[in-house]
Amino acid sequence: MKPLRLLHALVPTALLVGIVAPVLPTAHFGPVPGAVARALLLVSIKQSWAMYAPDPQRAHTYMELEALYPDGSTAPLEESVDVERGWGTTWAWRKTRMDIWRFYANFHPARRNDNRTWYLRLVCVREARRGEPPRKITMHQVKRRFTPPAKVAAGAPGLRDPVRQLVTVAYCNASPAREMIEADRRLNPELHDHG
Amino acid sequence: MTTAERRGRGGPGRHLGRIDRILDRILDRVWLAPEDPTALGLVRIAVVAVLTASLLTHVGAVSEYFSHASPLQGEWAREAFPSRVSLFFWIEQPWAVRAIFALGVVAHLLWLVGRFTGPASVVAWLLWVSMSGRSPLLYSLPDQLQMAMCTLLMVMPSGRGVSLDARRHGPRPVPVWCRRLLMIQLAAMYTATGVLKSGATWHRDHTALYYSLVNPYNRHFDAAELFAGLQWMLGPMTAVVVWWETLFAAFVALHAVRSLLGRPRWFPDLRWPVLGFGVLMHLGIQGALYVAWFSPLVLSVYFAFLTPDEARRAIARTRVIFAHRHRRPRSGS
Repeated sequence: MKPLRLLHALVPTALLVGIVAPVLPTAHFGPVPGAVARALLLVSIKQSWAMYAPDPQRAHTYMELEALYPDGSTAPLEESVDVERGWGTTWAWRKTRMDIWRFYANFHPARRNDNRTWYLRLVCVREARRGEPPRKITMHQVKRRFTPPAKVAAGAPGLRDPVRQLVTVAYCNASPAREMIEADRRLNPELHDHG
Repeated sequence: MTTAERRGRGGPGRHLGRIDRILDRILDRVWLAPEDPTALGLVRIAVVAVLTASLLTHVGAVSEYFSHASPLQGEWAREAFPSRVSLFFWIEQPWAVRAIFALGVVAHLLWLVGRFTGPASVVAWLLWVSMSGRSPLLYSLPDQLQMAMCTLLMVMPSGRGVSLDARRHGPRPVPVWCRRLLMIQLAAMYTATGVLKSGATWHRDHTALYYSLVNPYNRHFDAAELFAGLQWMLGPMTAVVVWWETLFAAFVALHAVRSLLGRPRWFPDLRWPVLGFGVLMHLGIQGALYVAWFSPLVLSVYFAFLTPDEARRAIARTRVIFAHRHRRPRSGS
C-alpha cells in the first residue's frame, strides 16, 4: 500500500473518531470519549446530542432581575419583561442570541452556575453604560409547569400558576464586576456618555 | 538457495503482500474509491446556504457580541470561556471584528458558489470557530450541528462539483468517504439523541411531543388544548420518533452495506421510507417550533444520501423545469 494512500485514509478515519468517540459511553470506553470531546471543544465542536433528553422540558423558567441603586431606589431590569410577556408564542424575529445565554443562566438555581455568574456581571456593565451602576442585582426565577395533556383535555389551563424563588444576588461594586465596569469606561467612553 | 529456503523467505513475504492488497482493497471500497462530485456539490450548496443565512442573522450585533464593545470583554471573556480558542480573544477592536466578519461573509459566498473553495471554506470555518469560541453561550444545539457540518465540509474537496471551480477546471472526482462521513455524522446525532431519550415521557406515557409543542420558549402556536386533544395521535408518534432516531445508525449501516455490495436489486433501498419520514418530521418541527436553522440544516445533509447519478438527474430535471418556465412567457408573447 502506498504511504500516500494510507495517509489519505487516516483523514476520514480521524474524522470518524471525532464524530463517534465523544458519544460513546464512558462506562465502557473510560477516559477516551472525554479526552476527544475536550480536544474538539477547543475549536467549539461539540458532539453531545442530548436533545429533549432524558425528557423534554416540563416547565419553563424566566429570570427576573431587580437592581438596587446606591440611593436606595430599585428598578426591574429588562430581563423581567419575559416574566410578563414570555408565556405566549415565539418566532425567530423575536429572539436574540442573548435569550440563549439567559436560558443557560437559569440552569441549576440551587447550585453554582458560572454561566449565571458571568451573565450577571455582564448585566452590571450593561447597566453602568445606561447610567449609575446598580449596587446589587437580585435574581429571582419565575417558573411555570406545563399541565399534563390529560388534565388540559379535561379543561385545565396549559400552564400552571407561576412560582417565584430567589436564586442569587450579584454585587456590581465587588470584584471582578467593578473592574469590568472601570475597564469598559476606559475602552468605550462613548457608551458611558450619559449626557 | 534451496527451494525450501526460497519458500521460507517467499512465504511470509507473499502473505504480507496479500494482506497488503486485501487492506488496500478494503480501504478503497470503504473510504478512498473515487466518485462523481455532483452529490457532494449539492450538499455543499445546501449546507453553506444555511450557514450563510445563519451568519447573516448576526448582522447588527457583531461588535456587541464579539468585540470589546461587548459588556463581557478582554481578560474576563477569556476567563469566562477558557476552554475555547477564538481570534476575537486577541483582535478586539470593533472595526477589526466587523472587518473579519465581512471577510467571513465573502468567504461564505465564495464557498457557496464554489470559487476558491478551499481557502474560502477555511476562512469561513475560522470565523465560526472564533464566534463560537468568543461567546459560546450565544449558541445552542442547532448551532452545534452547524459547527460540526462546517468542519466536515471544510476538510472535504466540496468544490469539485456543481461549482465555478469545476466549471473552470472541469469536474474532478471526490473520495467516497466524504458522503459517508456526512451520513455517519447524521447517524451519530440521531442515534445518540434517541438513546439518551430515556425518560418516562418518551417510553411510558408518550407525552414528549406534547410537552415539546407547548413549551412557550419555542412554540409557534399557543394551542395546548388542541394538542392535548390530539394526544391519541401524538402518543404513538412520540414512540415512532424515538425509535426512528435510535435506529438511524442501523439504517446508515445497512445503506453502507448495500452500497458496498453494488446496490443489488434483492437488497431493499430503505432511503425513501426512512428519509421521507425524516423530511416530514423536520418540516413538522420547523412549522411548530422555533428551532433556528436546525431543520433546514439537517435536510441539507440528506442530499448526501443521493448517489452521484441521482444528483446529476435531479440537477438536470431542475434545469429542464427552469428552462421550461423561462421559455413559456416568451412563446406566449
